[in-house]
Amino acid sequence: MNVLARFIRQVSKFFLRDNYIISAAAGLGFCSALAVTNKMENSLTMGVGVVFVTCVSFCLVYPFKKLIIASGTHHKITLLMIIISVFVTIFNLIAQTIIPRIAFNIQAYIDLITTNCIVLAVISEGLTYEFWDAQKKILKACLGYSIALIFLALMREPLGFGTLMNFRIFPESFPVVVLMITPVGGFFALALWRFMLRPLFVKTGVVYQDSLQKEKPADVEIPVKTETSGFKISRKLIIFIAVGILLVISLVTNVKALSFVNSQFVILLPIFLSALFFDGIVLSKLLGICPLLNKSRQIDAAWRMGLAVVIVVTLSASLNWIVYNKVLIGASNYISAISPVSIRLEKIFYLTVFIVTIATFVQILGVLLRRFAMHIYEQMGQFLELITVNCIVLASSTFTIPPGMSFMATTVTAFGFGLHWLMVCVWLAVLRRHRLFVPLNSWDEDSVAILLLGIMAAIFTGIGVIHIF
Amino acid sequence: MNEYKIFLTRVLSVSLITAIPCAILLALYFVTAPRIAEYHEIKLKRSVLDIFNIPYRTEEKQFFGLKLRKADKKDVRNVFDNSITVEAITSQYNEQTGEGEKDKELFMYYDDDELQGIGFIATRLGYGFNKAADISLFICVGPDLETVKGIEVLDHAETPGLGGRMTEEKFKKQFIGQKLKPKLSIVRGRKTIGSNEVHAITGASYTSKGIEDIINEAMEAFWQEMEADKG
Repeated sequence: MNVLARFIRQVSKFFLRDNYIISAAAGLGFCSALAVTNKMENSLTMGVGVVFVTCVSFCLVYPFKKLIIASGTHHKITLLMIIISVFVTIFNLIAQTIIPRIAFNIQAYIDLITTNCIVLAVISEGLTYEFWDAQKKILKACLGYSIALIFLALMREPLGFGTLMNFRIFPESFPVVVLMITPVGGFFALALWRFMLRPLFVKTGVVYQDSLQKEKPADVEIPVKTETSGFKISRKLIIFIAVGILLVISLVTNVKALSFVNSQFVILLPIFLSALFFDGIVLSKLLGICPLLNKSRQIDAAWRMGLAVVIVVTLSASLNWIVYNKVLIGASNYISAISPVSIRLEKIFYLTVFIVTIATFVQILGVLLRRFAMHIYEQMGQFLELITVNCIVLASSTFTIPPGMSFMATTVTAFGFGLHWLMVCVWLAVLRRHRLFVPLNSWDEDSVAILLLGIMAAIFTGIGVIHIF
Repeated sequence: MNEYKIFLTRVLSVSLITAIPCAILLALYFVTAPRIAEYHEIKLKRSVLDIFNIPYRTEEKQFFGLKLRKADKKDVRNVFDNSITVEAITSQYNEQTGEGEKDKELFMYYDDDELQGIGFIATRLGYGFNKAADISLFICVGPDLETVKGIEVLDHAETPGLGGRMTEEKFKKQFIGQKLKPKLSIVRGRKTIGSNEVHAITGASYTSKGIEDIINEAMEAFWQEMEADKG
């Protein structure tokens, strides 16, 4: 009995200490963890996918580790991302043949394993270890991620559907909490798990109790607040600009003289509004949460990161549209005409091509900024480098382009997503600054932030349900 | 000079390292592509057959005390080919969405040389809660072109649990036997009156409205085409 207890404790320590989702101080990989866990089958598929992709791409990368470490950070990230994206596509194809029904439900999120922070972090960390040690670390991180997904699904599926793995476990008459299967429920479930498990972990010794080390620097920051509040634009100006934009919008939508502009607007405005508010990338599609949690500690950083995201997301999505629709489809038409079997390149290599485009674009943007606007680069530089890994940049391409949206619609959606991210990030930073609840450690701080996000998401989903148009 | 060298080695290293998995990927694509296409084909054909109530062979498997129903692919294909005539018509340029629609396929079911029903696929962008994704409905009407034989949701990207509940049988069943002329309306909060009203999905009035609009607009276009076809 004693041996068994010790064994259980060891296993749970191995998986749950520094688990990126449930117990680590700096959490990673929240996006997919929240998005797919409304059904157990989805979470299992996702867990298998992450383990497969990470292990296999690490095996491929490991022989070239000297070359990769010697090159710069950005080159390293690009290279790893390209390789990961290829393996993600491989996994996607396998999943679509074996379990088509599940795979089509969460296909969008399988694509986004590419930008799953855990995969990249673990691989680049593993390059500094011996092969088997690194594989052990990878397995620990990825299986920990899968276990966290299973925990979340264990809470969400029975409460939301009354089923588990599609077997009904509660009777038909059991009141179903629809909230739990909506995106909003993801935030609440995660925050609840984090709050509930923390005391248990500390008691059993899985996690160490870390004390109030973070209080002091936070106290110093508060007086700086008035000086560093980001932009120097006065409030009146903002109000004027907003009223002006509203005027232009109402004019264009109501004046029928310019029929072309008018008809474009009638289509694009709902798309933009839904991307910005009702169906936003953070609060409804649950992406881009890791950078959001990290960058919203200071309002200043939130503004800068948000601006960088808006610029990169909009431009890279439009660039990706051109590359996808002109180059890729053109090339595959050409090849299919020559070769005996049809090869649809856009179905095989779209992820890789998107990644390459985004990485190249960010690189070029960095060079241009360094040459022409040094002070902007100094402010945004470090964020720009990391943006390639941001899920929302890839997501705004993969969500819009392969389904075949028009150029304007893609650009407008991407712009809306970027603005949405900026808005949520700044809003969360302001909320966290107010300290409604004083957390004792960084772990609780993140949990509180997730809870706040959940409340925001509830507000926005509520707005979306009311019929406006 | 040195910078170019570094740049060249980087590009070369990236392309060389990625060449290996890309080759695997290509090979895998050739294996899997037909099976994925087959899955979509069978899914569509099965839903067509289900709506027209045409029987096809299904295998039942006992699996941990749970019954799994699996359709026999060959039989589905055979039954489909025998009983359903697929007719392609070109519909006119759609000014509202700004995109010319592709050839529309009409699925007609003849039993004893008598028309039993016509079905078609209506795909629209931006009608659901998720404005950036298509909703794809299979609408099927009887020979009088206004009585619904059944609808099926082929593709959607709505929130699971809210708008996603439109795939539930309970919602789809209530369309059967409804009249589409002059207009179908989805009501909420009160009992349905007459033969062209159905209940909305609870908590998803946006999606319900979208489905209503899709059906009404698609039927409008469909009737016009049928008129043009006759005349």
